[in-house]
Amino acid sequence: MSPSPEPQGQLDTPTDTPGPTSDALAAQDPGPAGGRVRRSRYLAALRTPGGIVGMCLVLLIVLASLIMPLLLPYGPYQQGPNSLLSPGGGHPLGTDEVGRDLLARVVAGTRLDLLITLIAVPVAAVAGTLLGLLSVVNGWLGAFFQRVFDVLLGVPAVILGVAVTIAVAPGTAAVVIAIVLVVMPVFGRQARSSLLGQLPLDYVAAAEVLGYPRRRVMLRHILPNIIDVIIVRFAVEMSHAIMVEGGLSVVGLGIQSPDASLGSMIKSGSGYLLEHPAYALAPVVVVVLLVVGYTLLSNALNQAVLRK
Amino acid sequence: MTRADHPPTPARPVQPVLEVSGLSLRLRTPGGAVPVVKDVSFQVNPGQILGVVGESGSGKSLTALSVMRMLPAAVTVDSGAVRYLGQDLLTMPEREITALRGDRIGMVFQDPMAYLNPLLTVGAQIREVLRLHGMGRKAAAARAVELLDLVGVRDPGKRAEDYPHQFSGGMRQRVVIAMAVANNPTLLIADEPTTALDVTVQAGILELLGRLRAELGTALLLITHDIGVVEDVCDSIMVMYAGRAVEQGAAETVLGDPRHPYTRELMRSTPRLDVPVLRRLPAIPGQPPDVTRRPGGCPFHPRCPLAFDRCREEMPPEQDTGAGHRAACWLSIEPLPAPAVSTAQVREVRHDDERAPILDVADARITYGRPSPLRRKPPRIIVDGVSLKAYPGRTLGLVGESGSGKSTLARTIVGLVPLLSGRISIDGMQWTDRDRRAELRRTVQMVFQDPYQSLNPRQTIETLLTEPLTVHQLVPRAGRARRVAELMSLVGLPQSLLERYPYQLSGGQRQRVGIARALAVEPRLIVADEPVSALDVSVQAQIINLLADLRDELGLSYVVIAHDLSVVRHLCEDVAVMQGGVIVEQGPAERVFADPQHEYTRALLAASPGSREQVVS
Repeated sequence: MSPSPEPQGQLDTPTDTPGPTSDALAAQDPGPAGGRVRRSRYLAALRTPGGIVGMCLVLLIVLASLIMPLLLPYGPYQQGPNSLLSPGGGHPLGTDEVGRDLLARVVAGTRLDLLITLIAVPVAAVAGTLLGLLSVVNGWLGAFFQRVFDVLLGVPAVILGVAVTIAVAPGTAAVVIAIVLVVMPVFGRQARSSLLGQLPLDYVAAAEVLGYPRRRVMLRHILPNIIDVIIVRFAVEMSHAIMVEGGLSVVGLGIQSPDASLGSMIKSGSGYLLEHPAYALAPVVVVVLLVVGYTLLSNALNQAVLRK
Repeated sequence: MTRADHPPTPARPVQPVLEVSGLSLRLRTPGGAVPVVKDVSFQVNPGQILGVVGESGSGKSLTALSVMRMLPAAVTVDSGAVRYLGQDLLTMPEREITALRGDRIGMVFQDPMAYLNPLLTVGAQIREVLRLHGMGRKAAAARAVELLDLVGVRDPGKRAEDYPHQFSGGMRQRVVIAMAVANNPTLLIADEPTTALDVTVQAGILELLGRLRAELGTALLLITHDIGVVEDVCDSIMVMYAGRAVEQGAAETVLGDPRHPYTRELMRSTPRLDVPVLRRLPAIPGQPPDVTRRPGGCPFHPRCPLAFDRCREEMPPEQDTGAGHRAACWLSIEPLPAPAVSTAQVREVRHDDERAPILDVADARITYGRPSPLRRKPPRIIVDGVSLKAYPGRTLGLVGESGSGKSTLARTIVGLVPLLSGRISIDGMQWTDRDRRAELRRTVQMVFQDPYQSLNPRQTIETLLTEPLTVHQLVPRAGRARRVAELMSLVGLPQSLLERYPYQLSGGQRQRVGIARALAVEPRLIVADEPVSALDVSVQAQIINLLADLRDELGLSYVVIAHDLSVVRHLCEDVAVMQGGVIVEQGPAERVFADPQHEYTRALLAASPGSREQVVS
């Protein structure tokens, strides 16, 4: 047995007090504005233990990748006389097979990874969300893009990467395009399913009855009501994108030498796993920390969204 | 059985089935604990029906839940006692109260679908209740069929093997009642058991509850917001307001001679079928207070027409007016002074059918989806050949139960749903005429049932009201703020609400915003789909009055969709009754209500709460 909900909501009655005389009543307390409520909800999410840890991890890695190049004595492309040095001495993580400082390369790789994901994921998020909502404006086009997303979702990231490198030379641009193709359909489907939850609500019908243009209904009315889920999805897909970059580079379709990325370092380091474990492990640790950070962050945001 | 056989105050004292004394409940909120129910005392005698009436936030449901010790985690018992046949339910060990629930005390909730397990047959669910309380397998199977028969399920042996989704809403509620009374409980608690149901179905359920009381001698605690329901079935009544029991006593006494102003105003503001239609309903101003912001003194004083200084400072104690009738008002000792009669003008109805109709629906057929060669089944016909007319300055009421097609017809009139065949012409324009669409959009507007869903939660009231002006370029930019202010005062809302978001408004205020937004484009026809059914009873009258005032002031025409006949009778000059996608009767409201021709209209009228014969008699 479960207690039945009160028909008009027992515990969440609206916030106002009865006024004195007329039918019209002033609600007396000036409540907080809704926008502020939403922002404070996100801030509250960042104050939960998971939110704090996630935030700190991501911020630390970002800051380190920005500041450390200024402090390190070697650049990522600078070759030294000793190859495959063990950690210690002037090289905290040792050197790689051509004598470059591994710490400098991990830092540079992290920076490149962050740059790639920060370009690719927002592009994918905006494009995917808009294409996912397109059916508000044009049902046929909206349905068409959903089928395109179905196909993209059905193809493994690596195969997509191969297809992209056929068209574009392997490298940073190819990785960005591949990530967009992998991540965009996720946003497209997310937007679509959130949209379907909004369409039966009467405010959408009201907008149509009031003669608002379809594009306005999509951007001004529906989008603000589904943006919460999109933001959560964004954090999830940031970690997804890091892993896609890693995956592509490990099979050699990603960032090419001499540029360093976390994935490409894992690939080249894996050849020396026994004699020089720090080579491959260092980028793996960064990848793991970034993924954990983004995941914690997205969980905390998700909780905040659910709590409304 | 009549009420006389169950006197609420029997000559010799009997042990009450349920005795609640001095019950106070607290709700934990981020701002600290607030009292939600305060010092409520009542009793239910064997075989008696006690109706607890109240609006949202009155604490009526929490009071009922505390009897079963099923309060939400945030609510705690502050003080008081709940005794079932002399045993204190509040201090009883968990094991014992679990044994009582579903055995000695049954419970029926509002939504039967949420209560039933969709994966088990109804027979299995009834058998489970019986088996858990110690009945053998075979006996339980036989009893389950017997119970379904008792609650009026036809062919019970076969129906026991059906799943909940194979039953209609009313039949599902009967199954839930069968489960609740399976073990012959001495007390049945029903929380809004008929709120989700159609009127004719509701009448059947209320009749069933009355019959069970007569046949099984079960005492019933009936929680409802509908004073008409209470009037029809209850022996005694307790009226709750803002967590207090403001008045209680025998049904005839309380309803015949209410001694608390709230009870009387609630009765007066509820539209009825058996009194002359007044031009304005005597509405209670304001809305029920929020739990966290209840006024001091008597909680009703800000809305009370009789309030004086003492009411603002001190909560009046419950005063005994004799024969077990108690009311918590300083004035309760004597009958209340007669209400002011200023609103009591009887409405005059003009019938000038010479004027051209603003809405002309001719042989409209509407389906879900279009016919397609790819689908084997033809689309389901929702509205099948409906013709009706609405005239300028008048209101057409469209009455029917769920599934009658009335909402679909409403959505077609405003252009949300396409017509399959037939013609809908609004002031000579049709939706099929693409060139006139923009103009049509401004001619016809809609007011929705759920005023929360129909306002974009991410927009402030100001944005909500400015947007139609901007989109249609109705007012130059500089004049928009003034026009929005004008709209606010037109619907009786203070300007201070402009910065608010919909969730910060009460239901009544939100509905006013919905009306103001519809008025923004200066329409001449407004289609209102159940405009008051989601609102608190005391707020319904305000919105009904507002709609009537706006019609007279702005010369609007309405099509009002409603299931509540008394609302329609109050607001409408013309009525059309829909059943199964066709109109079975239409005509001037007085004629249809006074002399219904169609069998279905008569059934609807007879089933309307507060108007029908006492179902228990």
